[in-house]
Amino acid sequence: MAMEPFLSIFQTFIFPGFLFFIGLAFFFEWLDRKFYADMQSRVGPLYTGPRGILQPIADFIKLMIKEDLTPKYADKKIFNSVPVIMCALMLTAITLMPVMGNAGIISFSGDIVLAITAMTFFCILVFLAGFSSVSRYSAIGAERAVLQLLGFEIPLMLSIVGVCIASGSVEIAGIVSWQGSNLWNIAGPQLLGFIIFLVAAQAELERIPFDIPEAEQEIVAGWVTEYSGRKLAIIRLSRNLELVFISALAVALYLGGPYGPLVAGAEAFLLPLYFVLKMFLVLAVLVTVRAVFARVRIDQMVSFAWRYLIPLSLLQILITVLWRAL
Amino acid sequence: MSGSVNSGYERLFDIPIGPQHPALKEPALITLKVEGEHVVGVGLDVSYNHRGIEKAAEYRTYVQNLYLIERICGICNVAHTLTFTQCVEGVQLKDAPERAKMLRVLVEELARIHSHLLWLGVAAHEIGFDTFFMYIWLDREVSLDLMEAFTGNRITSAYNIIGGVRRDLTPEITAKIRKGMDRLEERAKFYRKIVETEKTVISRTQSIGILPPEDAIRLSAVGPTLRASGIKIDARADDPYAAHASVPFNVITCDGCDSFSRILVRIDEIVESINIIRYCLEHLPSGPIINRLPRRVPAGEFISRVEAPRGELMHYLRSDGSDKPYRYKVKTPTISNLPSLVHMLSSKGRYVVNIADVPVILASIDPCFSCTARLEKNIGTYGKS
Amino acid sequence: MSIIWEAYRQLFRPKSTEKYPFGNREEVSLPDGFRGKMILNRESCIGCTLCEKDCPSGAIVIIVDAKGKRPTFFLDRCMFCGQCQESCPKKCISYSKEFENAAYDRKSLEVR
Repeated sequence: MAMEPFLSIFQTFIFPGFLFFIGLAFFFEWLDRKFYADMQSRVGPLYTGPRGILQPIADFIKLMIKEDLTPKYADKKIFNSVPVIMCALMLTAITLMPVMGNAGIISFSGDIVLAITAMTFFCILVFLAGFSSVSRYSAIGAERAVLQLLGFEIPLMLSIVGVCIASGSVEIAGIVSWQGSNLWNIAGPQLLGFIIFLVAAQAELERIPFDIPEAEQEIVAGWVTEYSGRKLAIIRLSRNLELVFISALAVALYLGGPYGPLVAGAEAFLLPLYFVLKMFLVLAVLVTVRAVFARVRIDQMVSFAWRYLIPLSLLQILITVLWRAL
Repeated sequence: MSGSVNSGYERLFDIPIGPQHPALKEPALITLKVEGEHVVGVGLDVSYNHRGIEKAAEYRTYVQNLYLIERICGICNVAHTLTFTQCVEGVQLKDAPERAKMLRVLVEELARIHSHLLWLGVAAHEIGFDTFFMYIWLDREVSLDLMEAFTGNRITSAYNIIGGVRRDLTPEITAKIRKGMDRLEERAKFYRKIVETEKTVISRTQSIGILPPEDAIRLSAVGPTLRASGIKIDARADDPYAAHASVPFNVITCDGCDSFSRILVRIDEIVESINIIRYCLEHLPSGPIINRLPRRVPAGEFISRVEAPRGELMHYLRSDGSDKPYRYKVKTPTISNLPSLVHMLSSKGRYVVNIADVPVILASIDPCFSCTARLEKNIGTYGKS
Repeated sequence: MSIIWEAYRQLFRPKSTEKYPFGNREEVSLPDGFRGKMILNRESCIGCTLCEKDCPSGAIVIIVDAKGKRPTFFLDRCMFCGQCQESCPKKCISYSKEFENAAYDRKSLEVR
């Protein structure tokens, strides 16, 4: 019993806690860049570490030691606190992810709501970051981020609702264990929901075709324009954490969590391995989407979401309810 | 979002695009007055890169000027040297040999291919389609390698010289060019297929930057911008220079009048240029490649025009009998297209321009601001003046 | 979406990026007509100074030595247009394929 507090500290901070996820965030950035480059017949990061694997860490350290500027007329309290809150939010939400078994480090009834809230709050923070910068590009980026939120938030939630109905639980642990004893969600009627989830996730992550709030060719860097140095490093880290978080959520909700063919005795090793491998699969899909589309316009994005995504996600819920009833 | 609401706040504000901006590859300032996402006013200032080339040309001999004029624009360097050499030859009432004329057409079309591929890549980049951009620029290397093998340099080729051309075609290079053309033709067709089938590309470019034919004529648009409005004007066909009179080709037009048809026109022009190059390789006349001309040029004046990749390029030369020009004037295609650009960026009635459309429209005229900056110029409905 | 097969095909192809200068510095191939650092054949030069007159960037300076007037090329000003080769009546200027011409001092950028 004396080991209990040490174990929980170890779990929170080392594995599968903050350190693991931050490491994974850097690794995901590298994987994202490398895979994207491969598709474009480029080499991507190459020289820092073996095949450039340390490049995201090098970028992070470089940004940390760079000059940190705050615009003169910025709302300094909000401007300075947004990166920290963003990172803290993502680290909190990520502890819900069931890497080691049914449940994450934190697990309670209704924790899926917390996961959704974290994603919405992320958008609100983006808005605050853009508006507190008092820059024209940032203001337009913030405005676009909120408009985009109106588009993707509802389909994202509805697709998760479908999962909850299918597995009869509003707890990530419940959904994962349901998938452990039944089919994975993706194999059932949730396939449509999975696709909607990924499309909405692409918008949540602000990646092409939905990188509208920071469209480089239009508004420089959108809401991130005025950030530099340490704050930019933290923002980049929290966005990578968000990428990890959304891939992990997709795995937990649709791809059966950490379960796979198990060998007795090696569970503690195999479960996280399966979980991370499945996350790579989700990332591969996300990167492919990023590579094969052009950026759409904000009005096109919102009308696409309301015309196709929302009706489809309602249809998906209907199918799930009927499927449950049968 | 449109329609003003009396909220007491100033709803309009300025977005500067430039002089330094990711959408621009050269310095220019486009001031957009926006209401939310909609552009309600536009001002344009292109005079950030005045280099005084015309004045500098008056202090250099004709031989030295060749290389100065070549550096007006890196991408259309072949068109600039061709226009300059035609001016100098024209004042002397001499002509380049037939073989040299054909070789000039060949290199000009090679440069057109690389310019259009560069533009296509930039257009893909402006709508955030980076994968397409990478593929196009990878294939542009094919044309650049051919330029390097044939003329000795990738961009500033120094190929056209007064009285003829510098290098003759060797059998190895002919074989290389043929092989490269086959590759480029295959790729150009692939690009056309992508552009026509990719929904996001279509939605970002179709009905964006509309320039009706009557406005295109009124605002004196040139080049692919004009031809995408369905007007068949091309200096190669209307006023054949070099060997263009003997080379058959089609003037590509498209009736769409929008950014999408400008993409299609340029892709089709790549294919057309490939055919011209193939024709030149087959029908190359024999003979000398240079007709040595004296260094001193008799007094006189001459205007020469060439269809550069971006549109009609015009040079004016006035000589006073010395070995230096008395006056040299350059009119690049971009300056002719600027009024059309402002026209396309201004919202009128049902035609609304979004901030997101601005880079697309801007790229669609293939602007080259540094070639253009010869005068203090402010045009548009709004901006500092 | 139509580009997706091309994108997946690229995953299994060799990458197009040239790893210059870290990987393939020795194997960079240049075509025969490339204009790199110039070579002056001092024996056949007759000291006519035409190259100096025609150089558009003033990269050629005539220096008189024991043999008479001979050009010196300053590579830091040269823009490799090839006019001196064109102007030379004895064709004693040629171009090598040497293109890595960066140096720490201007002295090493002189070609005699």
